[in-house]
Amino acid sequence: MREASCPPHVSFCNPGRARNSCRGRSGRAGGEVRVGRKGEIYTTTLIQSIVNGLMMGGVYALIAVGLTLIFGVMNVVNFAHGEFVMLGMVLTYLLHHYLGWDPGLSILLVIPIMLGVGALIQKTLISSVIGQADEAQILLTLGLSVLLTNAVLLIMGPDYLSVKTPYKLSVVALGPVLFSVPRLIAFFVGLVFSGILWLFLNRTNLGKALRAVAEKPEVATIMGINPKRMHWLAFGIGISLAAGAGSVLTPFFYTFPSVGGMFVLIAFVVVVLGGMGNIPGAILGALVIGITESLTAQFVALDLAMLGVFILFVLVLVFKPAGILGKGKLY
Amino acid sequence: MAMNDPAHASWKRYVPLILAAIVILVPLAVPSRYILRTLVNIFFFAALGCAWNIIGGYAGQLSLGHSAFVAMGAYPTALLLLNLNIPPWIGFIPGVVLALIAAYLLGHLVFGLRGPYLALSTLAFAEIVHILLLHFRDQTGGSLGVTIPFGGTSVWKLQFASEQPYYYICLGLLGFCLYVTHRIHNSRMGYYLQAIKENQDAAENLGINLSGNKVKALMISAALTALMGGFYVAYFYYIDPDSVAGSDLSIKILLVAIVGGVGTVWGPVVGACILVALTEISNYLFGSGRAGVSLVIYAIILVIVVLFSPRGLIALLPKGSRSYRSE
Amino acid sequence: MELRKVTKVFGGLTALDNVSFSVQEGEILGLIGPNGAGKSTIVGLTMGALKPNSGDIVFNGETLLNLKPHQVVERGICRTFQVEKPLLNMTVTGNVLIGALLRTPDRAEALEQAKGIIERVRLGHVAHVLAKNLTVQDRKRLELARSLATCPTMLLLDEVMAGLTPLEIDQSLDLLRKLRDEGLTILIIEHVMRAIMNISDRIVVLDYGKRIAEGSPRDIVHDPAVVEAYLGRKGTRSG
Repeated sequence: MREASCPPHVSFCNPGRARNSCRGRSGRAGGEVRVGRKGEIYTTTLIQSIVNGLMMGGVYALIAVGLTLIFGVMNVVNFAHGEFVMLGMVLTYLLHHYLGWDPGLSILLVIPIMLGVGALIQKTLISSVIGQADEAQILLTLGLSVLLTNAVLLIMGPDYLSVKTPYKLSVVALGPVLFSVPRLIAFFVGLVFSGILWLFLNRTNLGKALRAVAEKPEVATIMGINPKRMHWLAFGIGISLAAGAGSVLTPFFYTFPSVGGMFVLIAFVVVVLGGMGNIPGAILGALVIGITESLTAQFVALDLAMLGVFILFVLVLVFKPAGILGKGKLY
Repeated sequence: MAMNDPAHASWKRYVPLILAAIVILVPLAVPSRYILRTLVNIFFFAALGCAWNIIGGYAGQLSLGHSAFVAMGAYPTALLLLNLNIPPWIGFIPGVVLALIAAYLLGHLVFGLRGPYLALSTLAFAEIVHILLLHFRDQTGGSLGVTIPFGGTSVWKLQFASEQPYYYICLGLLGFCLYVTHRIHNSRMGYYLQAIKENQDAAENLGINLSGNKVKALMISAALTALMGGFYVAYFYYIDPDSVAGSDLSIKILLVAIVGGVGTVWGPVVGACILVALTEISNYLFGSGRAGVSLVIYAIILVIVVLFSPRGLIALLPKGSRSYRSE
Repeated sequence: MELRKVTKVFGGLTALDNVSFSVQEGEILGLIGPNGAGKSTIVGLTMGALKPNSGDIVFNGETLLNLKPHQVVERGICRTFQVEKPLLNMTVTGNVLIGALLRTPDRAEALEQAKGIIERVRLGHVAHVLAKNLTVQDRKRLELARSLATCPTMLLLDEVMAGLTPLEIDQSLDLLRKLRDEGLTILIIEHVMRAIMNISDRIVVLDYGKRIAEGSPRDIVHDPAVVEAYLGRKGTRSG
């Protein structure tokens, strides 16, 4: 797992305040925040760690709700989901690099574009494997993932790209706890968009149509809803949210072709935790995973952060495969 | 060599023999290191594909993290060779044992899960191995990997200056993998795995022990994969977590089997030929700096195969579809 | 086989409520009842796919409760599925062969057995057809053939007659009678009344998860509780 300018679970790079050594590429960054006197260290570190985890969790939530939406409506497990995060990051980087756009602005363009891209991919590729054996979907989306990763690798090169925004290093303090501004923004964007999705599914007719297709496809067809249209809508929404998450990640995460790989795994763990097809579950699960990752990084070892997540994953699979909140369907 | 093939015109029976003779004689006739190395690559990936095929093709349990088993074979072999001077042909044994144990545990843990959950777990498994290899850098060398110095030709250490010995060793290993697959294909286990792949509920109600058979298949697959991991050390002289425990390798392995033909004995060989040929062609056309090109092509082929020829490209060969068994 | 006070609850629904009955060796026991009465649940419990909340299921003196389905099959009980589950990409012969492999690991022997069963079940004409290309009737026969291939001592038939013509039904009944005479014990669940009344030695009737009647076919038909269950009471009846 290649970390960005500063691994998310180490708090932030603010040389003035904390003694911090971040080494991005090798993922071998180390360092803790020493805030306040020694006695306060552990509690404050704990709270800080939880806060960092929560903030990251907001982003994970956005990625995961897209994944779980796609599964809920189409019964497709999108192994290429992480690559759409990556595409969002790449698009945002390009907009920033060539047009000077701020990622927060880019997201408004990225999401519609990816909506279209998603619909296209759905229509041409994914639709052929809907309803078929699991292997077909898994292999297809896996192939898509490899395709996207390497296509971007060829076009953009393997370099780690970063988006430098003026507020990149800014920090907001609430007592002894520090909030990195870009992460805070990402957290809010993540939660807000996830919330918008939830509202969309529950309050609008289109959203309810989507849910109908998810829960009872045959009945939905009888009621005049076109399942195929719902499929590409769901896929489009799902991946455009992932891409949006990518956008807000760019200020504090390096952009590179294989960055998708780590996100898809996390997204899957979140979705399993929250229950496949369960949106509130995904949001909750994302926060839990974010905190788990952060705590593991802080208190066990930085490079074992993902291990903590995986162990949680294994435990869930063994003891409650339907997820902590059970197998809900989009509500 | 289709298993159910009744004898056709008598000359056709000699085709496999002729091919075998060619394959065996090539190193003696052709001096080009490049060709030999390419062939070794083909054998290597074919063997890995074969091993994967046992659990992924026959049993239908998609393992997306098989490179973890390669690493389990490679690292012990490499470390024992480097630190204790134990030759690879002994050093691979702990690796295989490790892989067997891991497969046993993993299998019992995850084979209760279906489809995507299962695939996901295998991904997570491989990622865990990758993380651990990086973490224990004092023992494993971390991201710097392990480099085996070439100490001159030594049969004991399986180090040779020329390609020919490696060629025959790899060919032998491939032959072994093919033999194991052949035995499984024609045994009750082969039928049972196929039944499990087709319909688990039906299989269970025919008295088939789902978990037992799947775990057994995984263990065999893992052991063969680890064996090839040992060969990797002997041939490539360098391993690191990304190359032997990374997702690129996992995907190549499963590509070989899927593109070639799942659930058949010779499918992986076909797949390996195609994949290695493609790599060479793309390296030639685009230069080996553009590593992404061959993977893009693989991915496109995978997508095409999944959409249009899910049983693999071997089905397109003249007698290929006989390789599958339907009764 | 014997069910002793078996209760099975799914969430809020009591599928089986303190049900007890036994199946004598060598008999054909019919299990009938309106939809949702719990008949298929009994099959699931017997095969080990489900666990009862309380009660016991005993076969040949041994409890079946903690066994996995494949172990139950090994002990001699086999079932057919109401919704057929053929191995689609294998031929009829292949399907039955896999069943036969349970008792004899040798392929040639198993093949012989499979061929024999295919003949008995009248699937000879499609022996080499892929299962996915079969008609529904042939699929049902394949279910039966496959189960027979595992050499069971007891067979659980879950609605094998659905969709068959009267002639086909008679042929199947003939076959079942012959199998019973050869020593096979059969528990048959059916909605086709003609079939089950004709073939069963005894009948057990379930309604709403309770056993409401047991006896010979003639007695059952006249039992007021049974009549009421089928024709409904005043008020609603869940389907």
